[in-house]
Amino acid sequence: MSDANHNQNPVSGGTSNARPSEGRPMGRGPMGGGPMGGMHMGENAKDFKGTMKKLIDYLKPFLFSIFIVITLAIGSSVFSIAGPKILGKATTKIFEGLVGKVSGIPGAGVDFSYIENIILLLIGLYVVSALFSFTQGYIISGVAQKVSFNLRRDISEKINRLPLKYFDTKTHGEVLSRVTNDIDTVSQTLNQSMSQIITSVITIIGVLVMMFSISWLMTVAAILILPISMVLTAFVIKNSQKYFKQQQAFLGQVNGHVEEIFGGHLIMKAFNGEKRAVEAFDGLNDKLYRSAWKSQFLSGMMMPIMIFIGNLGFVLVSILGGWLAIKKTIEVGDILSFIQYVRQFTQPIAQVAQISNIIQSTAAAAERVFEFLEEDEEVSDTANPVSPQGIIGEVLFKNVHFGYRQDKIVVNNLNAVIKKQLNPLMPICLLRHCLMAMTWF
Amino acid sequence: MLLIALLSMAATVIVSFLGARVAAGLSKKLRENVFRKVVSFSSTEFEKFSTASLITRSTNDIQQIQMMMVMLLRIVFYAPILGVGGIIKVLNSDYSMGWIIVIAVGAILILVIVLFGVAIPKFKMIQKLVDQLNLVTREILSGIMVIRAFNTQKHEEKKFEKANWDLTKTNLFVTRTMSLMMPLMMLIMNAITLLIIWVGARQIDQGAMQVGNMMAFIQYAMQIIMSFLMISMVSIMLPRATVSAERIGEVLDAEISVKDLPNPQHFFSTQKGLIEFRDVSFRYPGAEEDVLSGISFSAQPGQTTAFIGSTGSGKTTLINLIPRFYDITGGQILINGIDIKKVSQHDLREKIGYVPQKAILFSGTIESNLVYGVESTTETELTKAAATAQAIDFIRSKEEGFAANISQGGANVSGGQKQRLSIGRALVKKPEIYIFDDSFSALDFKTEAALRKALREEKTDSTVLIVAQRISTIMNADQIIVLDEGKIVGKGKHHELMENCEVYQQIALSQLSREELA
Ligand SMILES: Nc1ncnc2c1ncn2[C@@H]1O[C@H](COP(=O)(O)OP(=O)(O)OP(=O)(O)O)[C@@H](O)[C@H]1O
Ligand SMILES: [Mg+2]
Repeated sequence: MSDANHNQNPVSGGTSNARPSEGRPMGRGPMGGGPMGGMHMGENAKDFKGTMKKLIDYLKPFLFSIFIVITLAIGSSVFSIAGPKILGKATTKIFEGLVGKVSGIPGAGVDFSYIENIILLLIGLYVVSALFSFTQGYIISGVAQKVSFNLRRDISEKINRLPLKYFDTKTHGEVLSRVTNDIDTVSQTLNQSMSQIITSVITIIGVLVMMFSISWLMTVAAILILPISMVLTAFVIKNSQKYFKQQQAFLGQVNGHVEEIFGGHLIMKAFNGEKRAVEAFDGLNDKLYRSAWKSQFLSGMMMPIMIFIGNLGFVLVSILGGWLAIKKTIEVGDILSFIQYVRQFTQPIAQVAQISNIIQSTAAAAERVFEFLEEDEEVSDTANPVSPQGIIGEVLFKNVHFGYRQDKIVVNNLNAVIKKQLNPLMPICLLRHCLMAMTWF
Repeated sequence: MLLIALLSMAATVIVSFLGARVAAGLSKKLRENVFRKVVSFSSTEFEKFSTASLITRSTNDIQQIQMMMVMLLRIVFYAPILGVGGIIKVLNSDYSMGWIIVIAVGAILILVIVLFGVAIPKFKMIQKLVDQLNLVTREILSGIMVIRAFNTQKHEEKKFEKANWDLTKTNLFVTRTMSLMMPLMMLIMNAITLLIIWVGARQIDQGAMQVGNMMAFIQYAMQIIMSFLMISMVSIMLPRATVSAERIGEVLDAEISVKDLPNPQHFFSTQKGLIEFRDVSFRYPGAEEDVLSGISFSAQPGQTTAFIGSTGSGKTTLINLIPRFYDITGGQILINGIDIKKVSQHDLREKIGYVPQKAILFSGTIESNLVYGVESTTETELTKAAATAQAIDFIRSKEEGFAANISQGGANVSGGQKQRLSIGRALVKKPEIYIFDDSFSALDFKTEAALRKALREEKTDSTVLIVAQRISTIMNADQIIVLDEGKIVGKGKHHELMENCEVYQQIALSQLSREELA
């Protein structure tokens, strides 16, 4: 032991590896997330493919529902994509009517019956689209919830089949965290990723098609913005993830320190440890602060960046559109439609950028659940059990070895015979004894 | 236009930067204040709030507020700019379509209020149901041996299934209600756009408006709707944060019951560790009657004073008054002739080596736990203390020795090992007063005897207070104090008490035979 060691602050020395048993981001007590809690992003599954396969197995019974969801998602996206194009037609009509009036063509004016028809058509479209999208959400949340229900049930049954040995190395909190947190994450992200992947992809394709149908020149201009947007969002997401992870880790350490000091406050007081506790806390709290504001700042950048890119597109499209309209290559209403498409375009791109994260955290959470479900089970009763009849209540401990773990034998070679006695309560006493002895050992 | 777009992005980035700094900074400060405050709490306050609740308040509740603050700062700065900007533009253009925006905002507000009105009570219920599921799972986990022994797996699974189903059902309801939100919102926005075009078309026809203005109006309307949407979402989430804020406020405002005087006195070094109780009485806060009354005795340096009495007789309570974990309600406690209320808590506790009834270790290493009470020590002293505490053998048997890891709460060492380290921690401090609260209970007789012997040889000039259950632990004490229902019913040496104290005789006879006692 060096001298430097003696001055080492035991509290900070300890908290830097608080809860060594948990090898994953901390601060996720059994009730950490809750139903509205944020997702635990940025964790990676070790065996992504395998986990996904198992998850898909759980989804199999709902194949039909998922098929319907996909159909509905397509429908709803197509309808909402068609909207702006049709709306553009109305605008063009208004504009034409106006132009006609101004140029003094007799009887000219805005063709209200035409516009009325278009608006009625659009209302119908939008209502159907909303209906579709609601039904889709309704079915998907049903699937996600039922999958989590099944996962939870399987875990509870698994608990009863695991060897007791398993629970010596795992805390209750860890098992609980799978029942609540992990499964919650799975169901939430399942919900999100399933509907988002479908809608985003369809929207991107559909919008592209519509944009091309209006003007390829403007579309190319808009698409040119795409790489900028991708690079920027990827950069922001990557960095904010980094700090988010850090923040979660420091949060876990701060919470661990708080738990420890509050729980042991008697000792802290008796040994005048207040100053030391506060110093260690301040150190951790400061680290938390640094990562927290960075993480928040970066995730807050997302919105302004997306808006800026949207505006950029808006400007480009307006200039180009104006020029093209003058050249009569496109109609005035098309500019409006196009602007709306550009707006619709940026959103799904940001979503797609995040989907891989969402899927990753689904996989990470699901993997922990499956890991638990696949733990080695207790060798259940022997193949041909001896009938308990005729057993005279004699227990023989013959070369018994017992240890909490394979590598640590606590009881070695215990030989004992427990004879049957006439006391009828004996078996129960014995049972209680065994239980007590086990907790002792 | 590009410039404006860039400027507006720069502005929002700055807002987001400041918002993040302010939110993280505020919660850092809050966390710091709460921690400092709780660290200065006495046991009374810890019991008033309960340790578990204090932990949640300093972690979860502050986290809630931080999240709320981020949202609030981001949106409170952003949304009104967006909304007010839009409204000003609309008012400036003055095309008497303002009423459409009023309708839009109204529709959005109604939608949000209705949806959340339905969902929020259910959110609370989900919280309860998750707790319920946790509870059932916890029961299964902690009762696993009994469940296996009595083969009640099926029964437990049914119980779990019910909790599971209740949660799923409520979750379903909430997620389904919430899945109404986005489609309806989109529908409202789209409908508003259509309305604007419909109304705008007429105005354009009458020459009161231009096509470009109508397009702009659509953009403004969307902007205003968005800002109201954000504000209404935040205001709905606000109540959750206020609950947290209240709970934190309670901690920060709590009155601390054990306080230092403004100008505390200091101990003289003439006498070492003389403790005097003068007619001390004590009542736990909120209790009906005194747990201790009329306690008078003195404990001399170089002597061992032992306390014995049935469980609940007030032994722990009595010795906890010496380090001022609680303040007495009557009488006086003096150390070296000075009332302990008149010196600072720090000075007082410097003098005391306290070994609690329930050993508590902190995460770190064996060494960091042993040196917890001191600034520095040498290796020889550390080894000596560990040897006296009978801990050296098991420390040596560890691969890393003194550097061996201790996990949170000392979960990775046995009960007896924990107790030995807890004793060692007090020994390393070399205090004038030792307090052992039933600290030998997890040791076997042989170890205990060795420990007592080592202690006697080591600590010749310290005042030693020992609380014990076993007569054999204290038979040789210089003074034994017998407590019964918070009163002293006997005081003296072993043979004196055997003659004149009935309570003592009863305890003694229940543990040892007459021959052993003689
Ligand atoms: N924090 C507390 N608040 C209120 N009452 C308490 C508190 N701690 C103890 N008591 C009560 O005070 C009485 C004395 O308790 P104390 O812990 O001093 O007993 P003890 O002699 O140390 O018992 P044991 O031998 O079991 O440790 C008991 O009746 C107990 O219920
Ligand atoms: Mg006690």
